[in-house]
Amino acid sequence: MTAADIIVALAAVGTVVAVAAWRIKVRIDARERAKRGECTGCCDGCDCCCGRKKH
Amino acid sequence: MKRFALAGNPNSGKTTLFNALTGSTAHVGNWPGVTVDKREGVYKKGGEPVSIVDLPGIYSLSPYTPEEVISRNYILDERPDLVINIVDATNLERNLYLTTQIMEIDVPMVIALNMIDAVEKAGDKIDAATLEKKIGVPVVAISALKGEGIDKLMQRAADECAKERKGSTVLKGTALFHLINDVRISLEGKGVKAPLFHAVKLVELDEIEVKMHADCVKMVEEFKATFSDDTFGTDFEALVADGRYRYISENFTPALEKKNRDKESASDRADRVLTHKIWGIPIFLVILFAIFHLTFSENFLFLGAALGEDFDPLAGSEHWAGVLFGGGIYSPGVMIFNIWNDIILDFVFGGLSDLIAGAGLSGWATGLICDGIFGGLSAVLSFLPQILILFLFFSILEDSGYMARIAFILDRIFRRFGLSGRAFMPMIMGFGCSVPAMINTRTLADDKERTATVRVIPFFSCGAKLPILTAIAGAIVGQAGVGNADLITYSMYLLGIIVAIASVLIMRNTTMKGDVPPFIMELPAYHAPKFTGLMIHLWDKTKHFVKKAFTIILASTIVIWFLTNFGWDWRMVDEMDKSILASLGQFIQPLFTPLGFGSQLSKWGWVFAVAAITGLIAKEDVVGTFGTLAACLPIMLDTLVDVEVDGGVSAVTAMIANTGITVPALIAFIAFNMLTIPCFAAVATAKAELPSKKAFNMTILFWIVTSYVVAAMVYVIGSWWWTAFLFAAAAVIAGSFIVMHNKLLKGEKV
Repeated sequence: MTAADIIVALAAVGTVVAVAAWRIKVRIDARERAKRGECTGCCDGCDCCCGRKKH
Repeated sequence: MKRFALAGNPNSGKTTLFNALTGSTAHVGNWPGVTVDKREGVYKKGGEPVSIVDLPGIYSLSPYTPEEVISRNYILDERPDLVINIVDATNLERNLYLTTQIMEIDVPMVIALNMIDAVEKAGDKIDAATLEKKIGVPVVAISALKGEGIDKLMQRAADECAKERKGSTVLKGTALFHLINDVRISLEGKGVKAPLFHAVKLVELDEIEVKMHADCVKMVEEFKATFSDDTFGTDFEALVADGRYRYISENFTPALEKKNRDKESASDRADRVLTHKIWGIPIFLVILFAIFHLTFSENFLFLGAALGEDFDPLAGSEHWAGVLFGGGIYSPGVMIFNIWNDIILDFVFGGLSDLIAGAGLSGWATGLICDGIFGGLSAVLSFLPQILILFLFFSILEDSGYMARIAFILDRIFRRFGLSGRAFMPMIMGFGCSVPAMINTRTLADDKERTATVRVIPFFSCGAKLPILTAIAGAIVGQAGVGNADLITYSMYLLGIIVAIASVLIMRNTTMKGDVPPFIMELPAYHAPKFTGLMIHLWDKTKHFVKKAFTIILASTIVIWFLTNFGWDWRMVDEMDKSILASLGQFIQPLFTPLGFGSQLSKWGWVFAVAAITGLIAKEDVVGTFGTLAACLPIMLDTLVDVEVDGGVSAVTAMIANTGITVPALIAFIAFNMLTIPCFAAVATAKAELPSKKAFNMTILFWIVTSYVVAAMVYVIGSWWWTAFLFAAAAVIAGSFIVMHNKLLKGEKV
């Protein structure tokens, strides 16, 4: 296995872990906002309903 | 930071003004009820930044709808520094009704006389200075759409918010004024804030006020016992409303000079045709078909028969052969799709694949990048142009005001079956995205109607499902040589609408029975959509799609590639059918046999079962999975489809060639994916919007059962046409049973 192969493997694993962590964070943040009675951002900042990424 | 609240009637242009003030891109629709919750932004153009709060559109401050309660509570309890009351200048009399109520609150206010350009265009005139003199608060003529008068409005607002303002009422000339004044003095003595507003509402016997100030109700009841109006009797709410309109008519309407008072407007003339009780629905279906024809047809205007099978003036060109023509003229949507795929994506992914191939990586690393990532991403990204074109057409329909008419037309038909037009508004929004559509169901006051509507919103195919439709439709036409791509996609959209309406009708007549609340809807005037507004819609859609492609889809393709190329012993497999994914897919594959993409397919048939499951993460993942798997399939087509660069249609074409799936099964696959559990974001929204956990669990079950049953019906009828009669007979028997059962419950004769 070459150094380039190791970089590819690490990048692939890193991407999957980072996306999963980001999704979990989005859900936790939404739950916290819901507890405070704020917009839950359930649209995940898709911009189609209110146009604000930071609610 | 100072806080200004925007309050006004539905569709008076609050969100347009909010966007103009804050530089935001909040969704603007040419129909009432786009904003169902308040939202905040910051106006930075003046000396000091100002927080702008956009409140939902309301007709009054009575607590009859959730939007009215939100707006009323905000102005009374949150005490903004100033209220900007947006008044639609083209509907002055009706809009000023709310103004007369806000005026009664002790809060500084400024009136923004919006759409003044439309008034001037019609040759009419409104004297803002006269209006200001009569009302006693600043009136600024603006056009939120064109950005005219906004700086002046904010300047007047800044000046006004520094002053203290006491509430004033237009009810001074009415028989109830003395009572209102007595109640006001009593409330003021108790230290109640905005006593005039509360006094008027108390006299109306507003349910919130009656609960809050029960001791003052006696005063109203005693007066009521000695009073009766010739027309309204003791209905004080009606008396107050009459007093307001009488004052508006006598004092404010003279500020309006109408050029053609009785002349029918262009919008009215258009509505005579577009909302016609017989032609309204056929016209809607024709408009919808025209949109799909412009976006997906490979035989534009059906010229193929006249031009011949080999028609392609660019056949000699290396790059352009088959891009714009192919046995006919391609529709604009297909031309752009081909340019994007055959030229742009081909160049980008082809170049990147060559680069990776020459980088000296191991076989598995090259496979991961070229087959896994490029295969999946190119399959999904290939549909971006057609998604944007279809969305552009829907945005034009929405912004022009036509979408609102569709709800009006459908209300007329379905009201008698227990479904109101108000429920159609969020359903139509579902064509864009299920998430805001589900949030929009807050405008429905009845919980049962709301639950039924949330359940069927995903059946209105959103942009994310379009790649599945387009890829399979394209492959059916190309590989199986059946039908037209535009007809297939159009039919599937119609199938979603029909299943949605049928489901709601069944629910509203069985488990979700309830009265249909009256649907009063103001049909907004038609206007030409603004170019920048449309571009903002498209830019938002592009950002969302690309963000999803390079996050969730990218991660999914990596996982799918790993599961496709590794076995349970975590070693690379030589043949894909020994992989982890194959064993999982083969396990669930029999579940889909009644739907035509289960055990009856060849040994690679599990790919359809796997793709349907990955669609639960994000619907684009279905085609992304096809892209990744097709690149790994051992049997390629005779034409050697290069999946990494040819996109989603090639991926499905390879699937058809490898699995032997039939056309009815492919259609059933589309139907299943369109109707089954939507993406994670929509599921989370449904959970938040539904009234209970039980309702949510039943909704998940409803999605699974409906998608399974409808897809199975599609497959069975598509494979054995005569079974259509059996299904029709079963539907008639079930429908008759429901009608008879409901009649028996009501004690009517059967």
